[in-house]
Amino acid sequence: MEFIKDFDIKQALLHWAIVAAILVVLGALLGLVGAVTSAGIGRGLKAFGQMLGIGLNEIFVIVPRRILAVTILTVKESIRRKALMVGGVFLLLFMFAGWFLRSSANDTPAKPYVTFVFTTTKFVLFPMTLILACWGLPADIKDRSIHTVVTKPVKRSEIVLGRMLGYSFLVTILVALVGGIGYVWLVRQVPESSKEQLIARVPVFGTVRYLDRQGNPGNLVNVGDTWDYRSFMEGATNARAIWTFSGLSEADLHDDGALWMEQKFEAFRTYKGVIDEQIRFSVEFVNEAKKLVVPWDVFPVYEFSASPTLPLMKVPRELRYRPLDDADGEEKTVDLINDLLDNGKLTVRIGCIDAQQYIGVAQRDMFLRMPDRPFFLSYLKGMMGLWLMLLMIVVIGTTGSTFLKGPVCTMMTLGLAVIGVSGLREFMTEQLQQFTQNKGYVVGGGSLESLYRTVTWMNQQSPLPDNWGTRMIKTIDLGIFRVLELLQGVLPNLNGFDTQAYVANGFDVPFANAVLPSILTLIGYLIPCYILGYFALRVRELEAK
Amino acid sequence: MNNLNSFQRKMVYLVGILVLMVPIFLLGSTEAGVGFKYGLARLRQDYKLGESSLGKVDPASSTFNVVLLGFRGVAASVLWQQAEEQKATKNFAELAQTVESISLLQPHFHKVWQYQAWNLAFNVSAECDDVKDRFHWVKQGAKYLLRGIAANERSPELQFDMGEFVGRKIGRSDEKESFRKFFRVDPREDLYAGKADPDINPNNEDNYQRAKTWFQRSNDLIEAGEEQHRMDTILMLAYPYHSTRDYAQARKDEGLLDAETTSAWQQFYTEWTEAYGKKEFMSPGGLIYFEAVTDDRVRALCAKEGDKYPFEDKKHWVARYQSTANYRFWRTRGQFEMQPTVQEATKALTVGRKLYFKQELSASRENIEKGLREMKLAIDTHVGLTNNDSVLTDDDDLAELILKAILVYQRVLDLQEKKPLPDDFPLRAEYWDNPSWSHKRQELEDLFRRLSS
Repeated sequence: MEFIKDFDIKQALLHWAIVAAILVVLGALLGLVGAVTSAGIGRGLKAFGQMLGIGLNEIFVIVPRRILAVTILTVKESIRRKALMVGGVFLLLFMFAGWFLRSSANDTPAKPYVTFVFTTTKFVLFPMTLILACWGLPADIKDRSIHTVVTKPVKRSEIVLGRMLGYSFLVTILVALVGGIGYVWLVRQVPESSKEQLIARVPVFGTVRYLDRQGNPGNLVNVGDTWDYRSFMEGATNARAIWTFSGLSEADLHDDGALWMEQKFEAFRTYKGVIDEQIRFSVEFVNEAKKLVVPWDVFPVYEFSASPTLPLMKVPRELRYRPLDDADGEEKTVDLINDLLDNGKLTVRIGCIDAQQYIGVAQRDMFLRMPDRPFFLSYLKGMMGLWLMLLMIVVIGTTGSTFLKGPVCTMMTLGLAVIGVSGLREFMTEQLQQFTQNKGYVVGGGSLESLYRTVTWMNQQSPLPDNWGTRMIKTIDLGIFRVLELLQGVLPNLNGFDTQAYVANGFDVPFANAVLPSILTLIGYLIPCYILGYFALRVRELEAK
Repeated sequence: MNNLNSFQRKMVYLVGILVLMVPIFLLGSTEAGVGFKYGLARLRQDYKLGESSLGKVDPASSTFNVVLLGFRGVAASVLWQQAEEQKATKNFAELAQTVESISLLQPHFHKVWQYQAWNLAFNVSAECDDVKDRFHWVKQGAKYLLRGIAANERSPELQFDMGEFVGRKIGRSDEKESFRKFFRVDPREDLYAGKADPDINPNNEDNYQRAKTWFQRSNDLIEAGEEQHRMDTILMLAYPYHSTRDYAQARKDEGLLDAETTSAWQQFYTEWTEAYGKKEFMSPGGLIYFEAVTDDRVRALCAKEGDKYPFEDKKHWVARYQSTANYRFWRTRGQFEMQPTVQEATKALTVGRKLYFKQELSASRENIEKGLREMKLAIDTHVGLTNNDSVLTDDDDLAELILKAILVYQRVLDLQEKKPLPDDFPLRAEYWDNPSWSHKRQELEDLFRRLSS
């Protein structure tokens, strides 16, 4: 469940405000310098002031009726260009989906089907949105049909907004259409035995801490797995993983009166053991305030199981147990809510019970499962993420088309999208983190240093020879890193919009951590893009082809 | 430029197109008498280079490759990387889909099928802790390979791999006990209602019997002239017969010592000596076959080739090939095991061991005594008849069976009468006191001590 990410709204807004402020200052400076150099200081300053005044007026004083007119015009124009034909292509793809999902069998899990729907939707709608947004305005300028619009009492800002809204309307229709077809296909095609996987679990995650094999606070071990997502605890030792879930009350119990917990631990064997029995773990509840340790039960590990029921542990309200230090003593009873919750906090302790075998755990590997939500809603939210991503393309593409020609704008938007989707942006963030944390040092160096090391077959750690050439390389790399630092705040991370992993893995798409960040990101780009688009269209020579 | 009008120009283009279509038609035809002798389509057909001659043509695969224009290689590389990433992050459901996409791009690249099928059946399967999940991934690998075979019907290696999956992976892995059972009764009760998964076991056979079918198909292709680069052909051709032996041995190991097991050993012996043993191979010493076990047969071989190769040369090459395939050992083993008395003796020894662990000491002792007596008789008879004592010296499985029985017997004797093993105890001299088997004896004594403690 590594796909689940947290979102800090305060930090995000602060970051946006800083970047926006820098951009406003930079934009204003650029405009000022341009005006002064072309018209002299006095006239330049006056022209800049006038432009700023008109600009602010046109940006903020807009008439919805006129925007609507431009929107309708944009939609009509796009329909005339047969943009909606893409729906037919999509339908065709689904008719032959079986060709591309060849391992379709009665035991195929639901996940690949969900992924197929989202991936296909993305790949079909993305190029269409790109072309629609990037070519509309330049084509109008080229055909001079833009004159029929600008000669009307309509502001340039309204044209930009109307265009964006028009394309967004079309994208919305298409997403609704293909999303609907995709949903029907999904429900019909997923094998009967995997239908139970089309759910929307609502997890509540806790915090986790570990005890090492001696029982001291510390870390668990790495068993040599290249993927270090999980750490492993040795069986029959004092190694434990302790989860704490907060804010619980009686209301969190399910209708059956139990608290549902779900796990996704991984087993690692150091010897064959009993081959047809899974590695097991014990579950204990701890209330430190009351000095209460309640051993509850033992469960097998169900790693990689797509079943939503097998890894489920239903904790009854009333628990019977024998204390750990008095196994032969009298059986006792505790109440889950009254005795085990400590100010709404539940502490759960997990230990592997098979000697010399290991269980791998990560923070998200155990969660409390609240009542499931309808799968349709989760699917809808997943599609919403995709829709917001396409709107982002509309915003960027339309803005680009106000100052670039169609092909150039397409290349720019495509480039930004590729950086945002392919993981290049994450790579850039990692490199910059290293750059900041290590005071300018990045393993393997910047782009030029990496190239130098590659062609000279030099590894990443060896020091570079000290000569004027390498000093120059380092200086240029430093400059590139500085530019990247600035760009980092501007380049969109389109992966954040992609919430299909939640839907495909049977989880509800969380509003706060997945939908809200996408909406805020879109708004965050929309505002500067709208302003930039307005000024660009205002200063653009519309006679130019 | 010219005096032709638009219509005339179009007519000229049309005539040009028609003229150019004539050589295309002739070069492309495969019909005898119509196409040129060396027409491209004809050559493609003769050298089996056409896609349809390699195996089933997949419309999705063709669509993919056309749509990708020249970017098939790039797309395949990206997918391979994705597959590795998904394997590393244990995203197995999507890995299964990614490997399908790779094979859509490279349907006739055998290594793709082999590598990814092994990836699923061996690597992914080993990641799972639940033995049912492991079996699921072995099946996924096998089903993937089945699709590879459909796309490459003329590849003996893929058919051979399928035999390996069904035979060795199911029958010899740590989970063999469960896997062999699951092969006939799939653990997904909800999907297969207590029957085998028809995709991998359509006739509800034992895994070794099914493996034999695949090995046989591989052999048929090799014998029809298809190339294989897996191993020495004489070894590869032996696999269907080894599968019969594996079947008999598996039944024996599982304690199923009945007429079916005896019949399986008999079948193995017959196939080994009649089918495999009589296949002719070309060696540096001319034509040879494995069953040329006597000088007379070797001389007959020399005569068949007009004494082109000297008798000693021929004999040398027969022996060398026999040694490569371990032919004589398996021949003797089959001959020995197919005797009903050997099965009876094995049964008595197995039952005797089981009775010991149930603490039925007297019955255990009785069975072991009987078993060892019968086994000694069978060995002596066999050695006397064949003048070959390799069952005594080379047969590891037989040695283990006898040493285990003696270990148990010795323990029972100690518990009941506080007496050591008698000097004249059957097979004591041949196995218990034989220094050649002392290492094996030590190993089994340690195991027995652990099990008894």
